Amino acid sequence: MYDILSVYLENGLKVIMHRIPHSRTMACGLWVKQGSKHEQDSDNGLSHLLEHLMINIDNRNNPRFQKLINEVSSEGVAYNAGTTKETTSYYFTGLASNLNKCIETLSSIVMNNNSFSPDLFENEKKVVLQEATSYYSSFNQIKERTSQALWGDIGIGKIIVGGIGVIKNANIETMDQIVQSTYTPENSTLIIVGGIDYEKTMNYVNEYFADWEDRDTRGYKETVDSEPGIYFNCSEGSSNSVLSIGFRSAAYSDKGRANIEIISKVLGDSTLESRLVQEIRMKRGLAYNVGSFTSFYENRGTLGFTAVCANDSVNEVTQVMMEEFYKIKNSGLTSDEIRRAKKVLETKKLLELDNLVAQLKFLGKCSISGQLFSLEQEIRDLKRIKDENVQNTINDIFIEENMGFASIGDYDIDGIIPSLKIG
Amino acid sequence: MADIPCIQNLAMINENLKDDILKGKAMDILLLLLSGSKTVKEISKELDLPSFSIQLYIKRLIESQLIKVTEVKVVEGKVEKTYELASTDVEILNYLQENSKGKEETNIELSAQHFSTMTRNIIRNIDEFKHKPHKIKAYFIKSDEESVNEFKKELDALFEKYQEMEDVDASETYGFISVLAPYKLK
Repeated sequence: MYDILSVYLENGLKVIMHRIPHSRTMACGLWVKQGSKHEQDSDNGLSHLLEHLMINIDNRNNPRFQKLINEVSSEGVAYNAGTTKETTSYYFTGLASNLNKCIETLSSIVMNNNSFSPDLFENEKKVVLQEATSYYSSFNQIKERTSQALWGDIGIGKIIVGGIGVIKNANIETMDQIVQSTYTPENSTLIIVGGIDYEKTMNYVNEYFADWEDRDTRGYKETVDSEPGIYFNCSEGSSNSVLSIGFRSAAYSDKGRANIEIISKVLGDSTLESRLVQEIRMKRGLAYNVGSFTSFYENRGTLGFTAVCANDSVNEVTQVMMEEFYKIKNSGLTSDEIRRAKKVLETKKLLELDNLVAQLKFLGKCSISGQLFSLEQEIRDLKRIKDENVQNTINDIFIEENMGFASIGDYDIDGIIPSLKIG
Repeated sequence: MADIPCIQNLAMINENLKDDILKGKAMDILLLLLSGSKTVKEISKELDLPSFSIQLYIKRLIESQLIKVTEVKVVEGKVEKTYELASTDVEILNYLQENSKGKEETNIELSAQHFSTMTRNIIRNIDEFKHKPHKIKAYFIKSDEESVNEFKKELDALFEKYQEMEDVDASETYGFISVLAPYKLK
């Protein structure tokens, strides 16, 4: 039985609690609906910079937070934070006996960390600039570039680390504006999982979060480009290139999400059995690194296939990918491929059941879609998928009007464009 | 002065743009935008080129500041951008467009031809029709902006005079192409 409880405080804060019997550990975190999709060109990257500032243990303007973070760390609690396109999160994992203090620390982060000294601010800007420069110098950006090609440089197409110039020119006042307009109870979800007692936990939550001021949250209307496109960064001297072909797909809460995950596994899983790995790496030796990925958001999703290859192989790899898309569109996947992919996904989800942080992040992701899911329900949905469900999803997704292309390296983009055709 | 080699050399002004113009696609887009602002979808349909190709050239034309986004419409959460020429001083085919008898004919004219092709065709026709009036001139001078602006006014007047000669019932078509722009600014 998946035991889960969802309540709201009077100030609008949503609290999700998931009790895992006999567990001696806990994980808790706060998810704020503020990410790069809420940003414009002028402030792209500031949600991420703010996350760095909020979790910075050197913030002498909030001695209470410094004391608390020091105490929980001394007890072996691990803490971390993350910014995505849709959320900023702060979370702790440790022994269940530390829950009280972890909840207090979380409240101190979001309720009191709104003042930063100029020294701390400038120093953290340098750190974030280093992170951004490193990101933009690597092929790791290809997944986000795929979303950018598919949805535009707007909404979920916005890059999380943002603009170098924006970060350089950021000021403390802007940070405070983001906190005031987005770090509000109604825009946040507190999630607690592990060996917890619901009543005691609610008492802790009330004690530390009931005073969080119920302010208005900024409005937001999600927009994307009307049609998918291309992202390319051709620079001479790159030793190899990365390419990605992506397709617009369903949102996180869509029933077809599991079908998309199956398609992703069969076509591009980095294990040696997937079709693209077979065709690109095993048969032709064109690339070492071949893979696929899915990114699901509140209102839409991305299915992408990537390869890192020699500069002069980009066109051939693209053509092989397009041939494989054509094949599955016409002949579908075999029952055995679907069965294997379902088993791989089921195993992955069962492993997540034993991982507190994975459970926490799963519920954090659910909070964005405004729905509650359970990992058990996910496994049930997976088992119920029939071959024809997968084929219907293939027919819906693998059309050129849904397709985008992203690539970085030293290659001839003009030569590749004509290859971007399914069949 | 060696006329034809000079015109060939003109293509070397902007390496990025040279490629586009010579391949014709970027110029096709520019010419299409002379008839008004358009979306990628509209350009793709009218030129019968894949959307990806259009987006590639649009990106380059924007980077070269030859075109710009003129309107951003949001319909059901989806953004549609409309593009137009960045400068109203591009008038290559305005006259052809204004004098075309029907819209359909205009589209055929604009999509079937592009600047470089027209230039090459005119040069080839000089050999074929040596007895007909023709002139090719290219000259590179060092000068100041004010003087060149003065000259530009005279060039505009000359173009107007040329346009006034139009006789839609005449059997021969003549072309007058002029390019006046900075060659080297340093």
